[in-house]
Amino acid sequence: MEWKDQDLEGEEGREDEVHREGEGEGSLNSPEKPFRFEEKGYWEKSIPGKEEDEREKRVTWLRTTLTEIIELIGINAHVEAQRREGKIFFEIKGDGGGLIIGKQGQTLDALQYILNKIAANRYRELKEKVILDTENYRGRRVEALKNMALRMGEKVKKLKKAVTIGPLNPQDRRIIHITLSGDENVRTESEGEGFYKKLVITPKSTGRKD
Amino acid sequence: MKELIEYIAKALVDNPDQVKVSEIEGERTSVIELTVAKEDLGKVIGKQGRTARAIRTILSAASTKIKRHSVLEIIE
Repeated sequence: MEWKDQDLEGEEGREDEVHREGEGEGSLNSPEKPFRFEEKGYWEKSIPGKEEDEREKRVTWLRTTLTEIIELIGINAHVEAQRREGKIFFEIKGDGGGLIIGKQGQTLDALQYILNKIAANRYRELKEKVILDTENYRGRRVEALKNMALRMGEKVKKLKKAVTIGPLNPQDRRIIHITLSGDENVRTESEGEGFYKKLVITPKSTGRKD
Repeated sequence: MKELIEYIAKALVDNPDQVKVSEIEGERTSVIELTVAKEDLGKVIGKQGRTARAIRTILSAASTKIKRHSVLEIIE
């Protein structure tokens, strides 16, 4: 598995002349902004009360914000909110195809990270995490990683040699570690520094191969 | 692209009125310059630059959509 940094950093395309334009009109932080979409599933377990009203308002505002960002990316999207184990769960239904997911889920993760930051900035008291998904990517990813872990575990045992996979992000590595934790014949270990790390699967009987 | 960065930046900071975004369009590449209030710099950059990296990833997706290249510069 190859993963390449797609960050558009560096000085490429830098021009000397700087045009300043746009004063950024229009207020963003307007909770009264009308929303366009029907909420589904979210209200089912609603309990009446002030706290619940506040929660509804937060979810509505966050959903509107997410929809706006996706549309500014250039994708027509419909966002559905759901309550799941004390988390705010948004399912994005759009015409963007893989664009919203990105390589190894990078774009979806970036959107989720930013939305959590936005939520924390606006609602300091918010404890719930915001989770994003589209086209069941999260579930499909877990299945794919589990299958890869099992396949690689078998390969390590057969060849009696260590196998390195990745680099993977922390959530993805966690799935590999957990999947192989029940196997007495292999050991898993993350290797390297930073957010994305490689993961080494080593046969236990012969010890670590250097 | 400018509107996207402006929208995200305004939602992240404490002083949205001080968010300024300018876009310099090249033939294939655009440079987007983001200026925020000094005390908000940490909010758009994040711990170990994670927020800035996430914004760049989103910008990259939006640029791919229109088959262009965009670079985000956060002015310090």
